[in-house]
Amino acid sequence: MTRIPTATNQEKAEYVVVVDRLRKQYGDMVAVRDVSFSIREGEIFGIIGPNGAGKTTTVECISGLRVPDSGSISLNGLSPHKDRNRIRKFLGVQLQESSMPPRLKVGEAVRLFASFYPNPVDPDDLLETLGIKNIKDSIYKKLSGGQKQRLSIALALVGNPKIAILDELTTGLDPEARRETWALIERIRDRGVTVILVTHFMDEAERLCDRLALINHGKLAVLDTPEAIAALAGGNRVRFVPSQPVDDKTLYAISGVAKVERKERYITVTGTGDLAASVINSLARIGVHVSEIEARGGNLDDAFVKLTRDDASNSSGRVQP
Amino acid sequence: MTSVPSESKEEESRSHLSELLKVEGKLALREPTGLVMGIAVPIVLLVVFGLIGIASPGNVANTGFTVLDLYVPVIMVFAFIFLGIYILPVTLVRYREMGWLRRVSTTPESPSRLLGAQMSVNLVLALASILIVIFGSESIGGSFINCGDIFSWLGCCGSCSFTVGRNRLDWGAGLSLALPFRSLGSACPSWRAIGDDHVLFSIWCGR
Repeated sequence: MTRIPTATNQEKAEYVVVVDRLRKQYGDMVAVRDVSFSIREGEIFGIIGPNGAGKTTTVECISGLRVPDSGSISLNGLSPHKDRNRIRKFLGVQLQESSMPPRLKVGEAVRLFASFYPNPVDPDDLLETLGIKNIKDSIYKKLSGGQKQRLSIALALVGNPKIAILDELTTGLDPEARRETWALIERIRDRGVTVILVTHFMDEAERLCDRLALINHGKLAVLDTPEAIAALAGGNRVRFVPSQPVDDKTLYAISGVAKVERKERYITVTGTGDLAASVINSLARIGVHVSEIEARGGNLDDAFVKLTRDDASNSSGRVQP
Repeated sequence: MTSVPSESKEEESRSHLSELLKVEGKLALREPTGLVMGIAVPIVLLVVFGLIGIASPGNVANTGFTVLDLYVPVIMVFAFIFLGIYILPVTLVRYREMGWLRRVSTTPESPSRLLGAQMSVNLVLALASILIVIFGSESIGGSFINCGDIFSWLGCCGSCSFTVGRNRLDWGAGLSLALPFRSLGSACPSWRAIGDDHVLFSIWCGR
């Protein structure tokens, strides 16, 4: 299921990033093929996908670090390649796996980057906001993973960008640092910055993103809100232990049940609607009580696995001769 | 977060460069390989050859020069070679490997400015090394300056161009300075020594 936005001229005006039929090939390996999407001003747009799907190549083309083989990209109406110098003044980029000179101090790095931009934010204020002002005299190699990541975000934001590209933002962070980083991204969005977030963490995408593009084998597999994508996972699921054996026929007769699975003493039914209530009520009517009940809605994780598997069966990621 | 008011283009460009130079300079002081090999080792060599010169004074093979005089250009060229073909390229390769150049290239600043700042820092180290070696040799009994005039200083500039020069033009400039020293060698062996070091260095670099 691929939904490519067909924007009218009026809608186009509100899009700050428009990617149209982007294609990038390395040798005979197609990294990105015909990917199109548009990003509205002030939204957090997630790009998700398995490792090697082409997420990073896509954002590298948007940030002007790579030149697309075909297709077009526009940021506020400018081309990242041709208008490189103008674009970089309002674009902040946080790169995946990029480090710094080991003896460079945090404060020096941020001040250096601030000097590159025409209209930077105050470096001290930024460090304060990111909670790393106390380490501004520490050298890079002494920082923890979380501190390095925050510094990396600081360098992406010090130029006061209108668009920020954040690649693998929370990889390597502990759960608490991840949550703090998420809160930070929301604060950045509240300041009106459009954020392009590349991730392979579904909880991160679900929590932060307004819309998600799932890229798999270089193709746009789906583009929608996290809720809509999660719903593709195939409905709700209820797991329980019955007080006495129940046959499949009885279970399939319950309204909404689509699938029944058994594992040891547990029965798992998948289906639509208020599944837990129907199962409990229907079984109670025939004198079966249920215990250890566990109900779960469709989630992004399941949808991700389902969509990437479906796609794997009909794509090899190579150019067909 | 408050915005700092924007400056004029020229001021902006100057502020980039001065901030870059400041940072690169500080990094050069914190990563002391350049300081040790560009400055400390020449000082140690100067002391060693100075002591040899004191132990066996007099002129070497009727050249009119002491051991120290003859080794001054060698020590200088050692420092230049180390700064030019070790410190500078290794730093740049490390910047590239760690993704620092890539990171800078996502900003309005060009990574070539970073390279320019690195070269400037190494040039300053090379100049400091020249001054220390020349005046150091004078203070412990050498006579390098006595035999030298404008040509000695030109030779030093030529050597510096090797230190920071990464293209054929620099090589050409260095060699065009080196060759006259070779031919002027009959007048002053120290000039010839600088010229020889230059020519050998050019050949060794394969340029």
